[in-house]
Amino acid sequence: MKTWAILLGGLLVWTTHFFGLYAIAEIAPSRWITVLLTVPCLGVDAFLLLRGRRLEVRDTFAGWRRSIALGGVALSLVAVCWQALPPWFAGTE
Amino acid sequence: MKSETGFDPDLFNRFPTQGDRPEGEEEGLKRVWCAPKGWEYLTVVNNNYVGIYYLGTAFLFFLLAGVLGLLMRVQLAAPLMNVLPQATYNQVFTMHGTVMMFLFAVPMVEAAGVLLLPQMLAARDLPFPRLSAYAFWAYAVGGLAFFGSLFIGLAPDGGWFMYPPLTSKAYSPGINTDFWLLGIGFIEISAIAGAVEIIVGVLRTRAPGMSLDKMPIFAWAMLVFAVMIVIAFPSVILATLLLEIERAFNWPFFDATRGGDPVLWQHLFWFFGHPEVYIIFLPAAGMMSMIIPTVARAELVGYRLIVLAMIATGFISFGVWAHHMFATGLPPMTAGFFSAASMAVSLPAGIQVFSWIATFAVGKPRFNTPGLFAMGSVVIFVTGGLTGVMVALVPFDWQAHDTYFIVAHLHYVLIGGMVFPLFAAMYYWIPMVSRRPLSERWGRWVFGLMFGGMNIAFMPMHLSGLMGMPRRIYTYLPGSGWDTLNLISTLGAFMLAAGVLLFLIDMARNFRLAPEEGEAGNVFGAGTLEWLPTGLYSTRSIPVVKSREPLWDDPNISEDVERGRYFLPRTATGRRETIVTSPLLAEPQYVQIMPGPSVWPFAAALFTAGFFLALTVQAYLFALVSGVLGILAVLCWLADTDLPVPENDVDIGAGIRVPTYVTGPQSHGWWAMMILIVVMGMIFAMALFSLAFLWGNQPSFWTAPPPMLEALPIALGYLAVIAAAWGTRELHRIGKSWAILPALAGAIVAPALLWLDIGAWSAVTAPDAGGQGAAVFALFSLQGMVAAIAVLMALYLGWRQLRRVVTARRNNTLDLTCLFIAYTGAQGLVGTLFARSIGA
Amino acid sequence: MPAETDLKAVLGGWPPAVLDPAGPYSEPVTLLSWALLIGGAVVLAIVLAALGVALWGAPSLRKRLGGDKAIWIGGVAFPVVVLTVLLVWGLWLTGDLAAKAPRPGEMRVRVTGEMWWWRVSYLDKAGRPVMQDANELHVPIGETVLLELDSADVIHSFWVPRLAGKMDMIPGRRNLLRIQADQPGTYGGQCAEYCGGPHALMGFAVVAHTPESFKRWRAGRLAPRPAPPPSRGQELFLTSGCAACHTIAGTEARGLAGPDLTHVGSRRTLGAGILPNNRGTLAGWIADSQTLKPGNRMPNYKQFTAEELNALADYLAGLK
Repeated sequence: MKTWAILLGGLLVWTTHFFGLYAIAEIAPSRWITVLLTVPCLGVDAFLLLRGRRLEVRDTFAGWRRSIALGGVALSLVAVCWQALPPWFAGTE
Repeated sequence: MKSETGFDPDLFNRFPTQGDRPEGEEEGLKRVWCAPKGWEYLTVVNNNYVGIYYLGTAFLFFLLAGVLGLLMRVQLAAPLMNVLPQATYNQVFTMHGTVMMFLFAVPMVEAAGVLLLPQMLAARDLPFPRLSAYAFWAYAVGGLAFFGSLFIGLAPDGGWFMYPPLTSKAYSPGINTDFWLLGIGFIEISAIAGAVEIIVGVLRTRAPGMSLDKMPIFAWAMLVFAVMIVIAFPSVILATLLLEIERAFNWPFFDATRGGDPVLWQHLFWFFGHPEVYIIFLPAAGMMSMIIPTVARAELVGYRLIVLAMIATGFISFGVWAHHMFATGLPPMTAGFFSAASMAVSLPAGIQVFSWIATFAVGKPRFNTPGLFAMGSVVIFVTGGLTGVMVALVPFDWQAHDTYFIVAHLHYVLIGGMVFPLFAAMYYWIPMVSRRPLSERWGRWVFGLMFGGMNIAFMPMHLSGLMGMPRRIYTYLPGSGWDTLNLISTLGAFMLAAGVLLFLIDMARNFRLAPEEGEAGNVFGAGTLEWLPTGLYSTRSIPVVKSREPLWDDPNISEDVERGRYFLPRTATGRRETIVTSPLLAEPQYVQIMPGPSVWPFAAALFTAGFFLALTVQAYLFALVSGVLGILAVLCWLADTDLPVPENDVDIGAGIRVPTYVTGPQSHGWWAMMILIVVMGMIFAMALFSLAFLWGNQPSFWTAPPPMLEALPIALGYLAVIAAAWGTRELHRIGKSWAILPALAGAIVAPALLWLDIGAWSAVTAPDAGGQGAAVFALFSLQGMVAAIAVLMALYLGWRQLRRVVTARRNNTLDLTCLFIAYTGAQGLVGTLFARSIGA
Repeated sequence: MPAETDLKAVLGGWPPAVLDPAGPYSEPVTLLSWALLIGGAVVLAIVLAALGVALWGAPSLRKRLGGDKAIWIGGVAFPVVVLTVLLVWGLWLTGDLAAKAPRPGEMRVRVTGEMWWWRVSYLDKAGRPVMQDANELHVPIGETVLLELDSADVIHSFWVPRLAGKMDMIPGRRNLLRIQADQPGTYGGQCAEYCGGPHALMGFAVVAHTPESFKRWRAGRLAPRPAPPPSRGQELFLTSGCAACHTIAGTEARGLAGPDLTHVGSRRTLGAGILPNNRGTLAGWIADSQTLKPGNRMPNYKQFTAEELNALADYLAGLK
């Protein structure tokens, strides 16, 4: 389980963020609520990034695991940032 | 390296063993994995046969749907043509899309997985061979019957997306739509079965030492593919169930005049439908990532990045479904989220494309046929990807949506992303199963015609779309300015078809199946395990894997494998078996005894087909008989599985001993049951979403649900069901002979609890009264189905107990039955509480 | 079958409608489209060049392409920059173009998609229908018109590419779409969501007038109509079942299933954008609409003699 959590951590943050935003848009569309979701998600991503960098690389498997983890967080960061934009540019109506 | 299971990795150093193996071992393997004769071709379950059947059938559907495409192109070659009358055209375009997506693309890549994965992972077979056989036969029989509806003019005509209300009873009174729902039903069954097979196969039957970071990239692709099926298909399963129920019983899920909502269908369909595109694309991309290193004679550059890209695609593709719905009036913010995710999903595709280019750059690329198709695929796929980014932008999509621009886009993506890699794969892997490879000289022509034809056919469609030509039109008026472009497209389509025809001729000339006599072999000089010498039992012994391209890194590996110097060089228990390894590091855990050939999967598939077909033509008695026979056939197929094994553990080579029977979370059966539970859970979750969605969009039709407090006894009842299932497992563990009784009781109580719930709701609403009633009773229907399966499983367990084949202390059948009964309780509990809370 | 006509003005032809905007709700999208098309071509060229270098390039160039760094730059960094710009542009336009509540004083029209034609209902300021038409929408140039899009049966999609992107017409929902034409003229459209049967033959036209001409047109439509002198055609119309589906104001014909024919003689096309509108086509349509537009909801009226058809066509063509 630990390995899977490391591998998928970043993308799980993305999942939470995306479906959270969808729920907000459906139930209570508001810019500030999306911010309340986005900021913690970015925080977790940053945390995962820092932790991922400190993961040990004692063998090829661990090294591979670390690469996937960091790459996943990087993609997640980009996607979460993009998803934070619509309320500000497209409006909330 | 730290061990995952307590297995000492140093033991791997005992291989390859020295000296010759005793006489008779290879004969033993051959005897157990012998080839079928005569009628036995219907009872085979071995992936070497089922994989080929599967591929052949899927390719047949490619050809059939391709012919439909040509017919459409003829009709559209000039304005007001009368080759296909309107009604026929509408059926033909519906079938073209449906057959290509459901009967060709998904089964084709699944078939490639069935054929290739055991070879690549050096497993003897996939872990559930009978399930593969069942999935294949259900698909083949059902698919052909479905296609046959075209010849009697009863083919579906609502488009492959089947939007209600056009497909509701009011506007499609004929049984055409029911044929669609039937045909898709089969694909749903076989796709889910295949996904279970592939997930467990990839994670648990890899060669020892093949840790996740050494797994062939195709196996990664298939793993992500299978997980995506498990998450995405439940949505379309539910959608098709709801639509069929609406049509048959008048429950108004999608009828806006009665509290339903046609947009609900679109959400359910596209939550499946867009991931579906990646479900098709990922395995093909996996093939590309296997073929290109061989073609370029270099290791794959960016293996880690590609694995990352595949996993990321698996996630992000679930956040893009509504980009098919930008024109439905989504609020701009909502549309924006889907637009952003659609941008994000293009990043992993870019990573893969640049990895392939990088691999070409570091290697010495050969321009053989697989290479040409791979390069052509990159060009076409990138073009389709770029138009994909365009339509991900909402304002552009408002213009391009449902025009020929989209037709062009999707054909670039699917032909570049799937069909070209598939042709590369056929040229590449056919020497693995055929005595002769395909002709390189002809291959160039095939490629040239297909590449040229594809671009000539689909490039002009971008323009006709921008000129205002909508999709799904059976004709157009003169003077629209679309004539020339359409004529060019038609010519290109025939050129593409000529390439495929040439391929077929080449196949007829050179393809000779040779499961026993030896294949053409590793003609391209690849480095992965599927190119080891094999028989019907796959490899003679199962190698220890130390790198990603073992054949490149260890020149002796083929000989050592062939001489039995690795794991399991014989049949250890005298039956079909394979080594089950741990999911992360692939350390050997136990020997799985596999079921052999059986007529029952075939029979079960026939009766499944009979059941659905009879339902479609409203022969209810026949359907009932077929359904019962189908269930009996499944029980017969199960009867000789999970039997007590005389040997507790066996030597799998070099003195390493592993058990022959394990239970609990380690066992492959447990994994399969968990995956099935995820599938059921997803179907149920989508049903919960449907209820909430209707409430959100049609609140004026809502009535107050029964009080939550009254649900208390029902909820407690469901908790008791869960406890009973858990109790049975614990009691059996401590050796109580009556251990199964609590689970049996639980299985019987669950339907009674459902009955109570239905009673309470019947006082408030009825299933045909409105959207709320329909959605609530749909939840109950699902619960009823699960509860019925639980009862059936409990009875089966009781029967095994009477036969005394429920092994003492630990038993898989008992474990899995308990798991399912517990799930039944949990689903019932959630359903009861959720239904009463929506709109309370 | 329909012959070539001035329908060319309706849809299609050169330049491509999407790239030939005629108002402020399509023009910004055209600019975006050009940026995407040109940008896409440039990116395709870059990728092809990279592939070419990988296959045939000099060793030093190939070495630069062959590593994780090149993958990150080409597959992630470059797209992130480009896509961020595009995303912001797209989002901003989405919010800007999406139609929200009616503006004060804005002209409102309800367009209802039906199998397989368009019911057009002009609304007053309070949203009450004041006049009926079909398959043709008249607007003044230079001002916005808010369309309320409904469906009477299945899902249709309203699309006049030179004026705006498309918007679906969904049963149970009312979508809004704002359009504006800047030049007088006829702007063609066609149903874009597959709606079964003759979906291919469900055309539509927006006729944009100068403000003065629009005022005249509107006044003409709203003016009380003198009852038309009784005619053979009218009598046939009222006694042969036509009135069960069609309305002609000022007569007893009050059917609602088919298009309102009060002004049918002034429409540019017949059969929802598929035929020119004249006495000949009117007669042909009445006798054999199932050949002209197979599957449409109007049965053939083969029982009429040629003389009767002429009388009916005369009558209908006179309903200006």
